[in-house]
Amino acid sequence: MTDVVLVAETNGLDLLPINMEMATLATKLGPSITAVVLGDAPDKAAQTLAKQTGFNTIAVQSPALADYTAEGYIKVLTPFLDELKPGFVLIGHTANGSDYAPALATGLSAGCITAVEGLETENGPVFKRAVYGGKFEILVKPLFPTTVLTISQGSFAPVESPSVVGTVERREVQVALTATRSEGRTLTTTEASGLDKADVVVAGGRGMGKRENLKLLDDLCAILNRSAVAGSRPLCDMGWLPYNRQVGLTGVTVSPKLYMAFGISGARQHTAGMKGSGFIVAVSNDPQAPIFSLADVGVVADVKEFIPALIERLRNE
Amino acid sequence: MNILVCIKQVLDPETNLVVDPDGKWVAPTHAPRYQLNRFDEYAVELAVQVKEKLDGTHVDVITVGPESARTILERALGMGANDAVHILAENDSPLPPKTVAEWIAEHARTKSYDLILTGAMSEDLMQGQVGPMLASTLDYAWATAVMEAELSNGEVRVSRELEGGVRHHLVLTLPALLAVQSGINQPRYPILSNLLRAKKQEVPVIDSRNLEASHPRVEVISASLPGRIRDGIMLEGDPAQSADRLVSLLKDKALI
Repeated sequence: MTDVVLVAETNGLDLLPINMEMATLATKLGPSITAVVLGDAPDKAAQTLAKQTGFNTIAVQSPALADYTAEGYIKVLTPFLDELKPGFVLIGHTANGSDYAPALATGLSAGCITAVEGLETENGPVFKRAVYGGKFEILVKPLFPTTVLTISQGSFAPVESPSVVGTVERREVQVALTATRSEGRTLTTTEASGLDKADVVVAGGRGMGKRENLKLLDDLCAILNRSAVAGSRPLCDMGWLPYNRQVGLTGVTVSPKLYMAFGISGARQHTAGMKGSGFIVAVSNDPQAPIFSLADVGVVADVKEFIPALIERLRNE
Repeated sequence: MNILVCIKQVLDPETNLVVDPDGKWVAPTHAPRYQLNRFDEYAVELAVQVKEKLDGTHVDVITVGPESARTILERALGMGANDAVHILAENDSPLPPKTVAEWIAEHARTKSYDLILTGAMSEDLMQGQVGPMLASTLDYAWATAVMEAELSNGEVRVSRELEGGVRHHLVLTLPALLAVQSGINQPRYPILSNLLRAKKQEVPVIDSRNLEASHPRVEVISASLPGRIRDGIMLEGDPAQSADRLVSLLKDKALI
């Protein structure tokens, strides 16, 4: 019996930083923690994890686990978790973690809370997450003996170095993938946008209204030194900007000296990619836009009126 | 080929919302306007594109929502879906994703769907749970964050979007469920004549009060405004005044 099982997020061979953050949450949820690493060659990652967290770690090995597949992870984790019956299963809120966590919960007759950003423990553990693009936060309480959680990156500080190294146990498993065939990964080759080198990033979101209005962003960049135009995901989805200019969770992360967000609501998927910026200016005509809680300076205005006024003012300098 | 597309009605993103008096959920301050969940638009478009390429494809759309959700069913029909099913449920508090998945599964079992499509997540709850839960309940293969999908010979080849511009390529055996990512295609505008026809189309309504739902496994106990992350200021005045003030501030900080 264990209180918490942490399913490590790897990129195949190496541990990702999110594991150290999940480890902190694990320590707040129970003294008895087991970590697990799945893969074709999980030993090295398991040893690193045991050393960096102090958790007893199980390296589950199978050739079928060389690539992540939902089928493979569910088939391996379900009996494993049925055996351990943890109160909490921690999974990274990444593309892969989100892919299987809800289904894992279903198969385990467990609850599922995704994109967890915080923990409160006044009357038992309840988990904080964002809704409505981040305009509101909710607290969610587990009602079943086991709850599967996906943890958003940047929500918890990395765990401190433990005084003891955890044990590592290796288990070889047989998994037959009957409905899935992994054909590997590719990197979408997009020419570098130079966004990460810009001192000033001028970003547009759906509040820009029409494609033609993006010219205002170009005009603004023309006056600002070392600046670059970026956009939120929806703009790239509509084809107004190429995806290499997308700032956000599934795009680029930037931390320029100055980030100017025009017509961007500030949903989590976007702010994840720019919240480390030096100085943040946000202009939106929605006074409730969550971007304002992240901005150093906020302006409630129509970007189509504000940007020309800003350009005019800058030209007078 | 039979395709089922699961769609959801969400509030217009600029709806003014406040925490309700109970402090347990949020409510609009004025008469709400709804629209089709952005991610689901891409799912409907994918289904219609398959229908156009593959003779004999039938596309059903289904939603779990209040009466007003009829409108998004009409939109999907206007985009080219064949038939719609409406599971009637009130939306004043969030439905557990497990319950939504169970209700949709109950309908899905009445027909043999080769492919079930959903959007990656809803814009309001942002959980991304119904898709994988529905697949698991029906014992379908599934993939989420799908940016490409190609059907052939009882299989579907997909590319999933991972972090850092990486795509993971997989082949799934049908029947399968795909939760599609935004940007997978360019959703079409419904043709007016299709929309008008959709308004008159009969849509079976299933009252969710007659459906079984398993015990909820989580409970939303409170909703609140998030705390400020940065201690910022809001500039007042007309655009010229705010622009003026902003430039002064940025100059002071040597940012421009």
